[in-house]
Amino acid sequence: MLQFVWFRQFAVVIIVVLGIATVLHARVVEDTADAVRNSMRFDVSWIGAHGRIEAAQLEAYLARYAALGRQADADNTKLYYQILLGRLDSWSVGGYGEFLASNPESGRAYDELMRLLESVDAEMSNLDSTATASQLLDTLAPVGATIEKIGAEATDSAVNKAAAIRQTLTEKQATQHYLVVTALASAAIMLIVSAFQNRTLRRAHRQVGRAADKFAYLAHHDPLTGLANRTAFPDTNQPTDADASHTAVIVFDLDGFKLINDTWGHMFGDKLLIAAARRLEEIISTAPGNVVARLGGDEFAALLHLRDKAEAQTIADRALEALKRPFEIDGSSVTISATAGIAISTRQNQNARGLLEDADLAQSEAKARKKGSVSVYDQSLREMVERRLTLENDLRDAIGKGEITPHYQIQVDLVTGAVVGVEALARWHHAQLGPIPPDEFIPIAEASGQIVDIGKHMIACACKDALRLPPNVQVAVNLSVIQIMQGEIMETTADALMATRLPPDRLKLEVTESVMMADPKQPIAVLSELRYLGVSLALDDFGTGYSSLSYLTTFHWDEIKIDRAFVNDLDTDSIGLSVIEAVLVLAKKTGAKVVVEGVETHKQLELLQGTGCDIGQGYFFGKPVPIDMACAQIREINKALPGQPLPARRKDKRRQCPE
Amino acid sequence: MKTIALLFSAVLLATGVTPFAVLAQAEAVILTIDGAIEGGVPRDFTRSELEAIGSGQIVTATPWHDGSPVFEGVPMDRLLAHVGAQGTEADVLALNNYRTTIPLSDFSAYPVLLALKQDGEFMSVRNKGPLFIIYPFDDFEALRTDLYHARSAWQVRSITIK
Repeated sequence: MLQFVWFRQFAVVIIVVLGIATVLHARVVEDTADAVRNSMRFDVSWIGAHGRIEAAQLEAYLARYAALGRQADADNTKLYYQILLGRLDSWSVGGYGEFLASNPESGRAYDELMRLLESVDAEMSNLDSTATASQLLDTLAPVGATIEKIGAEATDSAVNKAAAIRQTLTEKQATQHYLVVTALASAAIMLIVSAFQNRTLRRAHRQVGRAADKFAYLAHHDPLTGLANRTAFPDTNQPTDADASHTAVIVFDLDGFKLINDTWGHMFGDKLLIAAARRLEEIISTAPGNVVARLGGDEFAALLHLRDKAEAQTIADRALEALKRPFEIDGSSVTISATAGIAISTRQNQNARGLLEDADLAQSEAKARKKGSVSVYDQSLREMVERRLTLENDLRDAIGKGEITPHYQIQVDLVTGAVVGVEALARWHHAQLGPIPPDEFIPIAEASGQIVDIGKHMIACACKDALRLPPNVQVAVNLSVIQIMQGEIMETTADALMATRLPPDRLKLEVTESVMMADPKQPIAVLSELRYLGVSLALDDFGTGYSSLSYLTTFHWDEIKIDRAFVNDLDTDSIGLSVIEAVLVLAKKTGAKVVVEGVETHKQLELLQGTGCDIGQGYFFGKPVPIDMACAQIREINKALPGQPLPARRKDKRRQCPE
Repeated sequence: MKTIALLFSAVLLATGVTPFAVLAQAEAVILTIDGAIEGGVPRDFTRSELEAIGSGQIVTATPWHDGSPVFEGVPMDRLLAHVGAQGTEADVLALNNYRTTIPLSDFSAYPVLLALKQDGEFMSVRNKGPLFIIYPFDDFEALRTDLYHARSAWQVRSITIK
């Protein structure tokens, strides 16, 4: 700061000035003291006056004795003679001596006076007659006048010297005055400047303070919505209501916010976040101590102090309802939903940050389960998540460790009873956790993208294992949507076929109808390429989800696999049978075979045989088993067959897409 | 008190009992102390009586002497203790009627001497005797002022304690 540099230099100058003034003042005061001392020394008129009085006294006693002849007067005359001599003796030393030395006329007069007085010493000692006294009076007559004369001159000299000293004193005083004024003025300027400086400093201080406040605010608040931020969140776990014995944290995540942001722009997205924040505040901030925070992105959190645990669910529901109401932003109406996770304080977890973590977990779980729902955290959720995390981690090395292997479930021709195919199903035998169900690890693999590697591995294994099966037995491998979208599947399949030299028509790839859902163009292109490679393609799990009959016609499937759900109810429900029959009619029209999954009972088999389904798969025929056992199963079944092995399948795989 | 002292001095002079006169005799009175002293009765002292009370010495320059004479005499505090002085001030009257007032505290603060001798000789009237109040001017700068010079009375004849 320029000001401070300037002030420092200024202060140095002032201090130097003050120092000089002080030194000069001290010196002047010393000079003044000397002058005063001199004035005292030269105050000789007073000494002179005593001499005059004593001389007059001597003359008076002498005159009285001469006139009256009294002995007492004689004695006093003698005494004053001595006194006057003593006085005059003292004139020759000290200040008076200096005066006499410097005034020759007075000096001569003094010497004469002393001579005169000492000349009468003998007469004075023996003063016994009035005649002597009269004579002495005459002799000593000039004494008084001489003393007067010396005294007058001494007084003149003293007065002159005093005047000179006074002049000096006046000058010194003037100098002192200037110095004092200078010193005081310097000090005053210093004070004024430092006061000004102080004010500047105070102002700077205030500015810094305000900046600090602002930073503190920014550090604990989300600048967009003005809500508390993630940092501020755990600080606020101070229930103000003594009855509020429970603390709960709800985490909200807006569903599809990214899409809105991408479609409508960030400005719009920000406004939506602000509006959503206000709605959450309305619901949440009704009780003292409740806090709404924005954790970041489209994620919000609420800290609640509750008397009853059940209130958390109510509040979460109300908040989700509030968020579902259309938002009017920039003249447009937009609707969004949110998913929530709740964590309620327990004896083990009282800490707001811990609760936030749990609520976040519950929210993720809710989102995975169903968007727009609410999930409440509990210990099993944590275990589930932890298991999921473990699996996700371990999955990376599972293939390398050989833990993931295909099991094969046989597919049987419902007319001849011969085994016509096997479906390869991935099985994971975890070193510590044992067998992991596919339902559990496949979604994890899909989420983490490892499904691509698993798929590759499965295709490679299936192609290799297929060589051990009778040539009329096809091997089916499931493809994930991700594999189709990711685009490596062609290469993967081709590589596996090349490596094993397995005829392409012995490989069957199964995809679920979800492949076709978003934009069917790309998957159809990929499937067509695969078809060109010579492999068979099957539509898996038909009848679940958003099953659309159009899926049956947009691509020329070699096989339609009807979901096990329809087969399960066959014993009791005739609707399922009707659906199967309907699908069969359509499939026959497109030239696709129909496979039914989940055949478990003989009755189901009979019913299905009645409909004209081509192939059956299920526990009734056999569970998924390792390749060795699958080989054994096939040998067993084929041995029991009365007829010859089935004729080779039609070579009709190279049909083009209908488009 | 002051009046009494003055009267006494006047009587002293009038009757011719002067130090100069008594000097001729062996044991003349040279100092009278009166006022607030033990017994309340004025006390007269001869030279030998004073010498018997105690002795002290000061070597100092003064404005009235050349060089630094050696003064000997009775320490003032001893003298005042001897007479049981109870006041706060001493009114000193000299033969030449010079009069000065000295606070008694001076005598406890400084070793003030009622000098009888200068350079080993008893002081005559001409030599500012017979008694001279001497302050140790050389030892204390504070004493080298007109105030103490004025208190340093010579030809002392009587002291009145007030």
